[in-house]
Amino acid sequence: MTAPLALITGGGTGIGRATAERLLSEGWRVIAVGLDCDDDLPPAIRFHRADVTDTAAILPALAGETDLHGFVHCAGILRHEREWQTADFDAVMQVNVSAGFALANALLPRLETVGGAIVMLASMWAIFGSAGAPAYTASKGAVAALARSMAVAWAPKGIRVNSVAPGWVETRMSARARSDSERAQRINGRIPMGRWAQPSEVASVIRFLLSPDAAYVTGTMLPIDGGYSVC
Amino acid sequence: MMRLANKTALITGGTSGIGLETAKQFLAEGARVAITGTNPKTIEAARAELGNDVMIIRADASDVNAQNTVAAEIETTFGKLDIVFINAGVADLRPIENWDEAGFDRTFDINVKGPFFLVQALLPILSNPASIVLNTSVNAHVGMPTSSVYGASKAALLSMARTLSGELIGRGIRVNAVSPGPIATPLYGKLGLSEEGLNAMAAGVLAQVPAARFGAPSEVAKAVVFLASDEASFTVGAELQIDGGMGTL
Repeated sequence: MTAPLALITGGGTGIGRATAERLLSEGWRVIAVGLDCDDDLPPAIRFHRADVTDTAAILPALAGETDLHGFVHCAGILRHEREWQTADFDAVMQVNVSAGFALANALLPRLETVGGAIVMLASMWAIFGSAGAPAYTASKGAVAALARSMAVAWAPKGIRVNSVAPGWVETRMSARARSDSERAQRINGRIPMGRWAQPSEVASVIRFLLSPDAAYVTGTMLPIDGGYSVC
Repeated sequence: MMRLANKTALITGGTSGIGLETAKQFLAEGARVAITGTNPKTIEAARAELGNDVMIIRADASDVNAQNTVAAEIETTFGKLDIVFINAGVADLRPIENWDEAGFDRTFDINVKGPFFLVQALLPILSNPASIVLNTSVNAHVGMPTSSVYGASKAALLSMARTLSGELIGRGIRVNAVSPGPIATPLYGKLGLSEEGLNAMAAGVLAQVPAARFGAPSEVAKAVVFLASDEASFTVGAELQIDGGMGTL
């Protein structure tokens, strides 16, 4: 039996990379797609550089593969302060929502063959407002809702779909908030656990949702936020 | 994997169904396990199935004093406690006309009051870090007829997954919930329905489950192991639905 295969958008950096490494360590094969990848990305992660909003450019990454056991839509962008402009709003929605929607549809036959699972990256911003990031928040709310609809639509095909909602995670995307020490302190004080998450702590939850351990879990949005959203 | 090596765990209502299956998986992951139960028959069956290493405490989940006894026995045997799965519960389903005060109180005593005071009683022996998992239900969310009292009790317990998280995380105690949908357990046999009535009910429930099947107790147990383990180290106050999509439809 060949090792299970996962496709991870945004798999070259941050949470996507941590997920790729976690799956690799458990014997998965992983293809990462996106525009960015860390210089020290392990070579065992097959990186295919392409724009995730261009499905036709992504699919060649799966050449020769008929089965797909896991699809993780982790690619995401944030355009702080510019998201009140319609063009920027649309660009954020394109990457965070529409690209995941289009790819999931395109990958459906491969996922159906093996009863695969999908995990979409939502965010705690799916349930909060942000004065500076209206597109990011709207996109993450849409991701959670989309995951629920795909879960209901594709359950008869044996495909499970869930989302995760990370809180503050030490990634490049959040570097700006961390670099402002006053802001970082304010955020820490607001997290019940008093600390940020490591990308690996999000990866372990995604890994659970992809695995047979979650065989009856579909349509849920699982927070990984150190309690941020409970208080 | 031995994700719970060197951990001590308590499971209420651990002699059958989801609780028993979780006890098996906790043992397989390396934990020392204590379970509670009331029915002598299922206690004996559980002992035969789980072996003599498992501590079995006979305790009524609705009785506040009994929760203090459970905590005292755990302290004597384990010293400290790392994991609590509050699973004991009752699903009493009736049309609103058929409810009386005693029945209402019994559901809330078992599903809400007992669990709350058990957590209180266990606080002095809970480790830092520790993990508490509450067994709630998809019925906290869906408007299933005859589930008014049961659903309200599970919604109350689900609320505590959040409020107790906020209150206890400062001591390193993570509180989370699992919300099973329809799971094939002995619970259905306790509803007092005829076989015909059970079949009709099962068909009605299945029509609302996107996955088009009942879940197995092992599928809930795996989620509990996950939340109990360090895999979920940043997951606090969360609700994990194991319902085949039922709460989503």
